[in-house]
Amino acid sequence: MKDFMLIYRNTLEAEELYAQQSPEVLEANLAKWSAWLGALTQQGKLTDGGQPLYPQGKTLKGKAKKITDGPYIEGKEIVGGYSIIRVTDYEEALALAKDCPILEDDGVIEVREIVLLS
Amino acid sequence: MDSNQADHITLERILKQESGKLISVLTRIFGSHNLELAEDVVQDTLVKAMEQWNDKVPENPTAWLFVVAKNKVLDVIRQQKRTYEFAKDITLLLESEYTLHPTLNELLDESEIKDDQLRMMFACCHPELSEEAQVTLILKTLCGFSTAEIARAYLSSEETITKRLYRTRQLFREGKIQFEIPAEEDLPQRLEAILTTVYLIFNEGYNSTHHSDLIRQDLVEDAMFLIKMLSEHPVTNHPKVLALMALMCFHAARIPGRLDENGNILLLKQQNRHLWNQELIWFGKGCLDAAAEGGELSRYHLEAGIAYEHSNAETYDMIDWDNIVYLYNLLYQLYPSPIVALNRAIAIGETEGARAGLEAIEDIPDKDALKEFYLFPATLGEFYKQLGQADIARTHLEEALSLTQSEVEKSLLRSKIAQLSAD
Repeated sequence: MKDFMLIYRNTLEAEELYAQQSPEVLEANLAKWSAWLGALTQQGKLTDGGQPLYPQGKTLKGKAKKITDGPYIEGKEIVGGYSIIRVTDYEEALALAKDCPILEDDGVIEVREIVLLS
Repeated sequence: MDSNQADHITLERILKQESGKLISVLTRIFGSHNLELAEDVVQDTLVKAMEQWNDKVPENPTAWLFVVAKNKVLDVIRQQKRTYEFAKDITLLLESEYTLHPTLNELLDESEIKDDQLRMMFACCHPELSEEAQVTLILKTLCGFSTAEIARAYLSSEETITKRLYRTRQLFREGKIQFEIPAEEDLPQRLEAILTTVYLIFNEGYNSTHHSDLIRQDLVEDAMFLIKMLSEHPVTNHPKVLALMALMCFHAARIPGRLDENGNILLLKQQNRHLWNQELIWFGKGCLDAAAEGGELSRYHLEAGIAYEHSNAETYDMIDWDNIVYLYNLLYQLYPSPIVALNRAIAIGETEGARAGLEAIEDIPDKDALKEFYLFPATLGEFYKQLGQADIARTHLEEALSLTQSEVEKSLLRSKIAQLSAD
């Protein structure tokens, strides 16, 4: 069994828009996440439900430790949260990740195996 | 009683019952090993209610309590999730913000809470716990009694009750008591244990052995609250439960007639039957009819049948003692306890006279077990009195006097002894 981190990514616009939704929409959305992670728990696949993140933030960079506002965006999508699952391989991890609600919002789910340092 | 006082009593009852609900659901959330954490959070919630309701009680006190408790639960989970492990099956869901709120909302749902109260009842009446501990714990958790109130109800010191609760909670901490509805094959036996405990609480309320007051209305009401909960839950809605509820209704209905204005016991013969609560008798009859469906015959069915004969008779002379003897015969076959045999002998005394009653007592095989029970010599005394053998009667009544702690029972016995000399 291996641990995989699922990193939820979305565009900054989508993440910011999300923060402005009505409580009802937020609750409905949260219910989807809860159902998904709840199903993973029942199957015994969840190691850590992880946490959602605010889109805003601060970034420190390099030796100069330069502080900038906002997540450091290399690609198009920023990280909106993460969870950790325990499965046999990438194949299983991807099969589970297909049900993640972020895909319905046209977001991205990144699947990364956690390193075990020997 | 002025209306302020009435409001106060209702409010106290609301707080007690809601605290029972809250402790149940919080134990579900935190896990039974964290029973004390659940109790602490509920305690904090009640303290806050006491502080803030002084000015004005909210329109919906239950909703208020649940909102406050939920916020406290959120605080505990967010701040202390590294310290505590919560209920195993949901601990991961409580630790993630993705799932924390939805999980709590689901668990705080009314129908879920009913299951949790039932789980709490099974936990409180777990076979690992002594009967004493079961009674104490069920009053503490589900009925919202304080340690001091339990101590008062059972004439015990607060220290004793605190120690008992400490030992009981230890078993919870160690994870020995599961918070679950038992599997179907274990259910009858586990339910039997609950019924025994509820009936014990009711009996202590109905005929207090520990107290100068003969009747402890709070214990009666709490026992009825517990049996009602069992009767309304599909898992425990068994004929036996309905039969016990019927029995408790018939007994409770007669409470208003049991004492005179000075708090002295009135014998069945002397009671004003108009004071009995007809609505409760009628409700009990409905329970007993429903309990008859399903073909099960428990001791509670028979005891309820006997109590019904008493409740149903318009006058003392109209009591159907033959049927009561018949029911006692059945009860004794099913549940051959010396106390049942003694009551059967009393009923025989009513149908066939004191001589036959004495013979029935003579035939009780294990009557030695009754030696310490005041009703045994009291009954002998009564029979000998009826036979005109005053000296023997006096000896027995005096022995009965030495065996009961209850002031009202003592005063009844004293008046009987006084009558002997007068006759």
